[in-house]
Amino acid sequence: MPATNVNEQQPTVFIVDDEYAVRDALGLLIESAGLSAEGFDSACAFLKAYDPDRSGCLLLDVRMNPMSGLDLQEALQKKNIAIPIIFISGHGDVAISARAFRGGAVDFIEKPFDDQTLLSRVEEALEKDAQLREKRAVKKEILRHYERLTPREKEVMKLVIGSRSNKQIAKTLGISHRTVDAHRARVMEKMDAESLADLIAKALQAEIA
Amino acid sequence: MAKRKPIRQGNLLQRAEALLRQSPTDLARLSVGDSQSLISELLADRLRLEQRIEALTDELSSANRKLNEAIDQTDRVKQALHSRDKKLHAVVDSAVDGIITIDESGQVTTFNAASEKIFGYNEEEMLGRNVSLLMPTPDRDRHDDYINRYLKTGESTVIGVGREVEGRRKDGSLVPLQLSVTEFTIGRTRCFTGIVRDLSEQKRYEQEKRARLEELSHVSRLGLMGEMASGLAHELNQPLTAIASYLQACQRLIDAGNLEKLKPALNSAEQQALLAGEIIRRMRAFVSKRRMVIAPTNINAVIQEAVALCEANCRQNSVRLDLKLAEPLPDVCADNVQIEQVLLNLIRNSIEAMAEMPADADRRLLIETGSCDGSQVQIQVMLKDTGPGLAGDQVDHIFKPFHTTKATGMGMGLPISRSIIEAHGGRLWVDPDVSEGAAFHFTLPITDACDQCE
Repeated sequence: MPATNVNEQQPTVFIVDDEYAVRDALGLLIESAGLSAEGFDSACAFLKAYDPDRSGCLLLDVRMNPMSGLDLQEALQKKNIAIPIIFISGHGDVAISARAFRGGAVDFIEKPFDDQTLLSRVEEALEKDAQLREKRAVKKEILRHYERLTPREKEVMKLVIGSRSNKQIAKTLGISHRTVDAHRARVMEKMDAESLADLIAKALQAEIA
Repeated sequence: MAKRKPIRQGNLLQRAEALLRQSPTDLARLSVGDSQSLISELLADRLRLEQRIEALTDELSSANRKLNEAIDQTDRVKQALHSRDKKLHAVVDSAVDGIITIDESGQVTTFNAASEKIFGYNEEEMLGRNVSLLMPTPDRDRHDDYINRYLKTGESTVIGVGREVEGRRKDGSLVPLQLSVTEFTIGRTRCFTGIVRDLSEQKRYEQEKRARLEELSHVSRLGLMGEMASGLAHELNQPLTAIASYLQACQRLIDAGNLEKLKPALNSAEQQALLAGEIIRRMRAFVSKRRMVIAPTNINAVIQEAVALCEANCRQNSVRLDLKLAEPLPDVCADNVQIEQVLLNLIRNSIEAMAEMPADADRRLLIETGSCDGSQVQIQVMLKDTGPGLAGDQVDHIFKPFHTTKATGMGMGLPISRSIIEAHGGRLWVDPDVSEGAAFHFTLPITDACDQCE
């Protein structure tokens, strides 16, 4: 079942810039486009206040003290927080933008920027966040099902999605053909899989090797 | 019978005269004894007289001799005086400085060769003339009053203290002079000696030196601004970004009919535009080609101005800037742009030194102002950082031209900075004994203790 509307709340654009005027102006611009915005004057302040369950994206200034935008990106990664980041920078610094993209930034735009560019990037980022959140929700759901399997069933499932025939599985596990059949039926049922293809897709989505 | 007047003992001459006034009959009555005694007395008197004359003659000739000696002595003294006078004249005339003496009425009594050279008048022209001839107005008209006031009250602005004045040459041109006046008394007359030194050469030299420094510091400011360009571009980008975003938001607010938020947004955009203008004003003021103007200056304000120009650079390099400015501070005598240049040079050096440190290193720069170790005449500025500091041998070289440790840069920043501070009558040095980082100090004279202010 495809999970929709994992997050009922409206997404927020989090603006982190140490320059008040830039923060204020960006906030106004984003709100004027009908989105909600929230400003933070430092990377630390954002890190302290942010609740990962809140959907949205991050508009992040590269140059800040003492914690830079890149430092914040790294800190979020360490905490396994995957909020999409649009970096804003005063100068096209190739080395920095390369590092930002390697860290998974969705975008890197230079100041000053026109509102169309900014807002379409923001919308893309929010879209990406929604997708990510949906994916994570789906994965969570699949894993919830997976955790209901017995250890033997998990073994059988791994072999099934490895495209082994029942006969091969029976031989590998040293059990009877009929027992494999029974395990397989329970796996399909517990995993809510309609077909072998569906089971494989779910295993891939949930990264069950 | 006529009564005979007795001849009394006593003055022999009187007695003889009395005798002669008596009638012959009376004379005839004189006894031989009387005559004899009279004659012997006369003889004795004559002897005494002769002796007295001899003594007097001796006395006289001795006096005469003494007089002659005295005359000789006087002649010798006169000659000595004359030769001394000539020597003095020669000395006075060979003096490099102009020497002019005047009497109480201001009339010139001495005018040496150097004075002739300075003023273009010769000695004959000046002797007996009023010294005010050598002054431009208003001193020219007031000089007699100056003397009168001094004679009455003893108050003077020149006597005993040297000062710079302007003189007026014969051709009417003005000449800068160093003047010192002393007073002396002959008998009961008070006289004054003025010693004047022509400062034209010195002034010309100073002016040339100043012009060279102006030129050099301008070039150096341009270079400095070039090095700071990226930071300043960033600094300008901030308000521009804000302005663009505010105005874009305004358009959307208008489209949406949301006019309530429009006014504050426009107001914010305006503030940002003014801020951007201020940044440009600062840059232009800093790189402009200009004359050096030394005036009373608040050093703390100059520091704030310099900091405003390099804040972006500090941010870019993660350098924290701390200010510890003493308030209130007396004004210093300074050209504010040149002092700002010195500050920016030192700040830039410090930032660059710290930029090369590991990413997690502590990068702080402290700028501190205060009076100079209890001195009432100098203000001291200190810049101390937490950078790698200076190696022992660097300390000796950093102020030499073309010594540089940077990949870019001409190695002129510190030498020019030092020249600027020294031209202000201050000192710039590096503290060799700090435990960490580098510490630069400079001093500037406060306004009250300075005669350079225009």
